[in-house]
Amino acid sequence: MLLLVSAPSSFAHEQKTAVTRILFNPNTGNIEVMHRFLVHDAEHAAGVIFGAGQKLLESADSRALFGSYVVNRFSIATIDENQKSTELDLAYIGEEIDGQFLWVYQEAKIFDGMQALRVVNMALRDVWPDQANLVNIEKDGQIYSLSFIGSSESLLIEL
Amino acid sequence: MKKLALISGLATLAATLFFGSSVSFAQGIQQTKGSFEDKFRQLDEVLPTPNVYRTASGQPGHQYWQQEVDYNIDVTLDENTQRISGTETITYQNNSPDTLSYLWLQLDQNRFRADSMGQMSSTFNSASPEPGSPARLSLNQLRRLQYMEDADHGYEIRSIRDVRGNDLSYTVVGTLLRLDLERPLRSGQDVEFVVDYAFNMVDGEVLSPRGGYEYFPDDEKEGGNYLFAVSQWFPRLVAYTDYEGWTNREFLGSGEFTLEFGDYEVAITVPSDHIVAATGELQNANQVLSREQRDRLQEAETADRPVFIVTPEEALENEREGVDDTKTWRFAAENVRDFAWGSSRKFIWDAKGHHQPGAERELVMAMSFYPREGGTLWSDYSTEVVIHTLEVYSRFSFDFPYPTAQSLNAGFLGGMEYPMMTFNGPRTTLQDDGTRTYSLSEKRFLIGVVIHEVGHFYFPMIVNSDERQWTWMDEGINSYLDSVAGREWDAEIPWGVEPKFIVDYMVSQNQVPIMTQSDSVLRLGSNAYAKPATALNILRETIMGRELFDFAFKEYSKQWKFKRPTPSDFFRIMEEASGVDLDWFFRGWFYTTDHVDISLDRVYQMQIDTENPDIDYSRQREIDKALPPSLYIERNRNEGRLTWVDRNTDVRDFYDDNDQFTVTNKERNSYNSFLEGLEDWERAALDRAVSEDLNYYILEFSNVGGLVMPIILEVEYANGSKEEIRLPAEIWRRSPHQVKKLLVVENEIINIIVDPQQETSDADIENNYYPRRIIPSRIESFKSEGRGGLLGRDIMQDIKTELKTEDDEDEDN
Repeated sequence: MLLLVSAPSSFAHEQKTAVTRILFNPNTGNIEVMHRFLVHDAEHAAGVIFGAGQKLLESADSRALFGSYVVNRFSIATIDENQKSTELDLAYIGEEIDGQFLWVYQEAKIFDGMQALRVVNMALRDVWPDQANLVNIEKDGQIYSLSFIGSSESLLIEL
Repeated sequence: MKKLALISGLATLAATLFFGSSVSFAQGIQQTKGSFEDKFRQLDEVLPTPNVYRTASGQPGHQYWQQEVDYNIDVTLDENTQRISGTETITYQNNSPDTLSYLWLQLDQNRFRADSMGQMSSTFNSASPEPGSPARLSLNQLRRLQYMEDADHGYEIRSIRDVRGNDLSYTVVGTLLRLDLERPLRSGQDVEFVVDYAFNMVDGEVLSPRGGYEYFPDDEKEGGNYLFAVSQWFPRLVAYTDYEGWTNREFLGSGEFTLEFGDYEVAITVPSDHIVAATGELQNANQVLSREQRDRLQEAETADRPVFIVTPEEALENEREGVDDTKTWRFAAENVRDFAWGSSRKFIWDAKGHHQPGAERELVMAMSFYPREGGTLWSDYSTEVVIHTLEVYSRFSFDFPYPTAQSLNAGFLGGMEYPMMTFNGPRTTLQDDGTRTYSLSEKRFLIGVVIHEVGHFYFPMIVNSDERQWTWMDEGINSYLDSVAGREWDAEIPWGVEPKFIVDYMVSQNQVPIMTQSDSVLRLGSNAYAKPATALNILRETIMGRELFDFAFKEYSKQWKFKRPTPSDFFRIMEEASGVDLDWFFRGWFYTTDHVDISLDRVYQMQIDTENPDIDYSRQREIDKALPPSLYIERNRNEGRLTWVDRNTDVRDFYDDNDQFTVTNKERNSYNSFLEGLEDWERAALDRAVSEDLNYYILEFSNVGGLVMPIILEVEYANGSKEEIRLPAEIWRRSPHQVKKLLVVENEIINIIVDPQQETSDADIENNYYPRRIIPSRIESFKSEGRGGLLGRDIMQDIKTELKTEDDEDEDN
């Protein structure tokens, strides 16, 4: 299957990096997913995907479109002790601008028996092959990192 | 002797607590007993030994040398085939003490050959197929593959000859070329040779290059128009240095350039209706510009706002049809490390003089070149941002030494820098009604990218660091300074380098130290731009203070202006000029992957015993009273159950009236003899402590992240007042994992916050509070603040909303 994406612009000095924090929050009992993008990276990508004229700072519609794009490029499957894989049903919480960043939020309930996570984070990587996405998983004071860079699309982390 | 015993005692303690953590130092220095880690160990073994070329103080040494390479180039651009053909006469001056039998040239265009190392070592950046489903390949990747298969890229070297016309022997090695000299070139000698070459320019849209062409197929002109942003366009000498010899490392596309200074004379032949912008100064304005354009240029020298040399209307008229003849634009540039240019019939051109009274170069022409797609975003801001950047950067370094400073709009890249010339990407968006608008984000992008790229005029175009080796030396330093200039442009725009922004990167597990060769760096943006920029920001604002930092940084800039610094020169000069030991800082931030996380684990209060029983015993009675009563006695009392003693109050004895804290003369006599036994100084110290009656607090900190940093405390007292206490990083020097600090204060403390302004990139905020506070996650805050708050509203649109009157509301109901 070809992914139909029109030709992107490229930016020698654009950072093309995004960070996703996956926090096992004991206060809420949720797995909280917080994606952080540089606004202008995201706006250019949104222009490529949804057509020119996307205004992430000004338009709630543009932000919602971009948010829906991100959650469609991101998934977490949990793997239990019997190697059974279950896709997490991540609820979409919303998105917001904070300074130079656009944040997109998702969450799901923590459940017992999560031995490992398989994470897919293709946000912006289908727009720019050199987009690098860092995913930090924070659980019980430990940080586990996944780097979506180069050829990596789906990465597994043992908790 | 006593001191030694104390240190070894502490080391033993640390070893017991942290046994098992792996610690090692490179360069043969190892702590082989216990696990003590000397975070303050000087960088002696890490930095290269000072010599006559580079001193221990970080300055160029008394025999510092660098090569000089002068270029005289005739180049022709064929618009229809997007092909560059050139002849360059190169004069190579060997200022090194060495004899050279060959020279190395950089053939950067060879990176785009289908068989280049850069191309062959690029990886497939897409999905591996899941079982049962086909693999995915983006159309963009497909187009790139097809383009690489069809296109013929890389240099065609037609000949290399000496000045008498004899062919010289050479060998091409990837993106490099070794030129064998007929006779060894001795120190102090120069050699001249002529290279005849050509290459096909790459399509900027397809390959994301640093230079190339942009095609506008929908323009009115038949066949469309082109915009050329031309860089890495002539075989250039590889730098020969005192620290690495030939810096002949293959160009893979990531690590940028290491170059020599020299003088350039360049004749550029293009279609006669093109406007050409280039490094340096135009030499034949009379031949290529109209009288009106020359007059406008003169007017621009003293104008308050940029003046159009080519107006938008003229550019629009110009791009409607092409020509068959050509014109040759001649440029000259002195003492530059590179040369870039741009050419198009689409260019609008504006200019404004930047004045530096008393400087070696009093007038600098700031100019911008952009097609109509740049629109008012460019005409309003580009040239003004160029001038603002020169003003700020010069204040932190030196007056701008070149005659021009230019910003050229090429839509296929974000931004790229060359001496006196930058290529910048931001564009306006064409609306259905034919107008061009731009978003706030695009405006911020333009201002940010022009500041950044123009900032590169200083670092590395003048302070000529080795980009192929150490990206952070130009990108990190420049990202630090561009945020300074950005905040001075508009403080309301959120600029980078806030210490907290880098935390996610610094805690991540897959990272390399900043001191890593450019092509091996993972996550270049965070590693070579954001982290060093944040480190320098922290150095300035938190560790050294602005005065010391700015003096030292200016010293670095001035000492290495038009010279080639290495990281050790920077590290050394920052220390030498400030008088502040920074080896611990550079070691932690640049040579390790530690992060900052200081935890305030425990606070306990102490009180000085006066030894006077009349005071101390009653204090103890108060403490005893303050303890919670026995739960069982309390419950008995609540049940109304009276004790025997309560019911028989007529029976009392001595012990009912005197508790265990009752003072007798026995204790008073003992106290008096204690006082008599004190030396005078002991008595004075005790009397003072008793009369001051201060509060003594022990604070226990642990260094969770590993990176030693100052401990900055905000202490809040019971009387409502607050105090900031800054403990230097050196507090960690003998126990890098845990330290205790005694605070002696007048008032009672009710809480303490570590790093209250978040100025140190401390990763875990929760352990910064004593007593602890629950810090809500971003999602928790987002939910409680009504999802997004006031930021990100479309006020430009919403402001058009009409106010409803009471009548409207009635109708609505």
